Amino acid sequence: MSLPNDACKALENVLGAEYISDDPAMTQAYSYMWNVDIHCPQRCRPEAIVLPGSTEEVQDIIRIANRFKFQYIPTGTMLLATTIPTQANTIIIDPKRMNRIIEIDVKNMYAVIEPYVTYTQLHAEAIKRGLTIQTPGAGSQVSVLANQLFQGIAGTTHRHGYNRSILAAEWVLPGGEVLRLGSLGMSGSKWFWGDGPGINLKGLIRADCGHCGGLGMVTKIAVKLHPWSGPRTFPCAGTSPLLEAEFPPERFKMYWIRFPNYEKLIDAMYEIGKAEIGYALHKWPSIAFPILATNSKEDLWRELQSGYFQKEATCLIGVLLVGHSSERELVYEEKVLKEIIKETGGEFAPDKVYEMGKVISGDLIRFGFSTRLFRSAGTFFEVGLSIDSLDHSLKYGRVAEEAKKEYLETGEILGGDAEASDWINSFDFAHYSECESVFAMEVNRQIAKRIGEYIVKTLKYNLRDNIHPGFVEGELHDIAGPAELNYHKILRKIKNLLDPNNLSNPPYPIPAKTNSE
Amino acid sequence: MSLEKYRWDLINCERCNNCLWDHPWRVKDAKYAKICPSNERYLFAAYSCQGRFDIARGLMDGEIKYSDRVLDIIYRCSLCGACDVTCKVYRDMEPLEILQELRVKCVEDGQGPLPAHKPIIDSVKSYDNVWMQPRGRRNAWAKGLNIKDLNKEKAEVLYYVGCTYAYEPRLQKVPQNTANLLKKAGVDFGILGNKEFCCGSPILKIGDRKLYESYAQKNIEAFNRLGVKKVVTSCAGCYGLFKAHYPAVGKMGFEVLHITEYIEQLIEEGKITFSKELPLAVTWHDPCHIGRLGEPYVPWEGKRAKYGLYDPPKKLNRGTNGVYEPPRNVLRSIPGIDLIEMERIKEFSWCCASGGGVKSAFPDFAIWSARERINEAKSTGADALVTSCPWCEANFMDANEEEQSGEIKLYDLVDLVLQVI
Repeated sequence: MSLPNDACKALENVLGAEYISDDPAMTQAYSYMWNVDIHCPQRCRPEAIVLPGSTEEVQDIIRIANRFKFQYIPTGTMLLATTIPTQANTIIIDPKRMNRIIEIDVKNMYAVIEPYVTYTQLHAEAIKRGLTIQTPGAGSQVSVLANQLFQGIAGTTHRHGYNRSILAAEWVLPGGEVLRLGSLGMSGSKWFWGDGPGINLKGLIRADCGHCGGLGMVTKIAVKLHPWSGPRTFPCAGTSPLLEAEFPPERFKMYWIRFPNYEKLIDAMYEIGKAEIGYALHKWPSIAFPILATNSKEDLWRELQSGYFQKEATCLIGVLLVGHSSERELVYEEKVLKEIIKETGGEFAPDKVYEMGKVISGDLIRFGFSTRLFRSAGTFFEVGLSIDSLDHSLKYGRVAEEAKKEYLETGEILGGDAEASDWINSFDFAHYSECESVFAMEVNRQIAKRIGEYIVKTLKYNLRDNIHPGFVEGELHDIAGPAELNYHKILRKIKNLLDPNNLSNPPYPIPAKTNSE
Repeated sequence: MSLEKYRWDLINCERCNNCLWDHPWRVKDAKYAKICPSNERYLFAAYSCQGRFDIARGLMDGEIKYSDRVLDIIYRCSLCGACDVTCKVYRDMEPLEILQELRVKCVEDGQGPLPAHKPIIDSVKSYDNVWMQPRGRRNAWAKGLNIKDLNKEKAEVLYYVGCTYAYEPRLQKVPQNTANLLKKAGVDFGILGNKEFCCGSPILKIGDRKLYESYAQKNIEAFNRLGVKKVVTSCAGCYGLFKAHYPAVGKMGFEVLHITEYIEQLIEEGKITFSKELPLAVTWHDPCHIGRLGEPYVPWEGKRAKYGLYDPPKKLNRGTNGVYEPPRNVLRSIPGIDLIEMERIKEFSWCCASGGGVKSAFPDFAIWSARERINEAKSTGADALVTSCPWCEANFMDANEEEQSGEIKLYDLVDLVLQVI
């Protein structure tokens, strides 16, 4: 126990003995995630775990951290490596007790939630009320709040919009003060809007890819909900693991369309966006089909080795059409889609693609199978989250492919060329897009180190070709920043201004000092 | 099989947390989204499958040492297998085998089981039952029922009662009713009486594999010697062990059936017919040991090859082949019964947390989890909760007694069936 006794006592006074532990057996469970090894030579056990039950308790914890000068990591459901300590003298704030859906305002279509509410929970409650929320590829088991702050990219962002879900928020700053953002900032006001009345500092809590707990802890947010015309409970049928989503076919229809080349595919995605049709629109990597639609490693490898999907599902988009207001709306969207396919030289994919793609259509509405991606080898990883245009996504994927080549050739990672392994997602009816270049591998420290090299290499290639590099964290900001208007300098100033003691999950969002400093 | 064999799983766990939650597509209500009683009650990640993986890895690699807290974390889990089912939707791993193997390691290292478990082991060694009761009273429940003694006579069916139904006074009516039911159905059956031994389930679950194997061996030999065609048991714990573990110990020349399966067969064969109506809205609680832990044993010996592929290929038990439909079919066939399902059912059922040594060592946790289940049952609008497991039933009785918001009626399935024939 390296936290001072007085610090422990102070925490215990706030939380009660039941909700704090510094026992090594307890902290051990917060000390491992393979991908920490990518950028950091060491993992640490946290000094203690605290389970606050309210915003006030979070404030007290952060104030105690500042008084006794120990670091703290605010977490959600802990899917990201940024939640594992890499430095001594760090505690974890686990929000398991902050698990309430505080309010669902049906009329104004928003929900107010605490950090340990998952997408599954919120989606289940929302659809009961004729509303929905877009759920992320990370899986519906993740924290809505943490995911929204990180990126909030989802299966249906084509329809629901990028970076628009966060409304008002309650934010405990790294000094322990509470700041209420958006409409909540006005006395007596509610959670209905993020941009005002009241201050809008959404860029600080959300920005490109969140601050990963590096700027205090957001303790409540209101998230935008959208109209839902589907069933009031998720229409799940079948037996595990072969569960199926049975949405009414007169209102929900998935199309799989392939194109003669990548450029035509991107043209079609633009046209679909311009026509403002579709609920979800993605370019799918061909390797996703065997990964998502098989139920064991053996089945998956048989499918991969058959090469069927690499051949038949290449240059492929998936379009989910939904007749929101009526069955006729679906009929209209189908007509428009078919016209676009004709004009852009597309063709419908074979039946087997449709068959295997069944699981994917349900996943787009509530992600239930996405974490199957881990199954292929041991885990999967990706470079990307580079938000820009569809054309940009195409370029990004090609650069990632170039950087990936040597790792594929050695067999250290599994994947393929851009067609096989790139996910290109349309946001806001194709106004925005992002590309994720996906690959799989087994876990060990040596490979993690090589993945770290690959990430830096991809970043440098992107900067070489004047391509926005996407998700950058920690020290990599100092590589990306000079090529992107020196944003890293502003980011560092924000970190130092808000967290002068550098205690809120360093080195996120950026190390307080540069290496040379 | 040592813990080391699972190293691949331990380092490749992605911490996706799916082991804590029901499958996202199944969830209808935020309240019933969770599936791991241990983590829901104790909240810290250590009390989850992922956390216990970290403990296992830490012990193997010397990152942590045994302590009271380490043992508390390892044993404050009912080994219900919910994490195993949900993990296997996404991953090819063996969470439950790892949690079981971790306990075996504790015992082999001289650290486990917990002091509260030691009387169980002493009792089995001294009296062949888990309840510190004399061998001579094992047969007390059958007094006056005139049941064949298979130590002296032959029969087609062995009715294996199990320690808890045999000795727990609140539950003895279940084997009594079962015997009466089998008689009415004209089944040629008998019991082993005072010569019936513990199946070994509790001792395996707390990690004493050697002692368990000696009992498994003894029982298999005894059952084979009887020449019975079927072994029928009312106890879910015994059934789960006979189906999923005994075949690894020895060859079994008989079919194993849970009483709910057997009643379904007898109804289908017309040997049980209903003459009365029972107007009752009921909900069925799937005991883990006839459900996701009651799948037939699948032998496999091999290793993880490149990318974690099983060599040779391995068929994973996913909890889907448990005894789910038979009790439901029996309930549906009873005139007047309205079966209403809870949200977390079958392989995704919420565990009452009586098993895995929890009831003996952490009775407050077991009652808490049972109360959660009772509240879920009440939320369906059902008048009664029906199940078929002595551990679940006793635990529900305890929880029901302490329930502030009103009790729910509790039935063993056999009791209901006997009321209407």
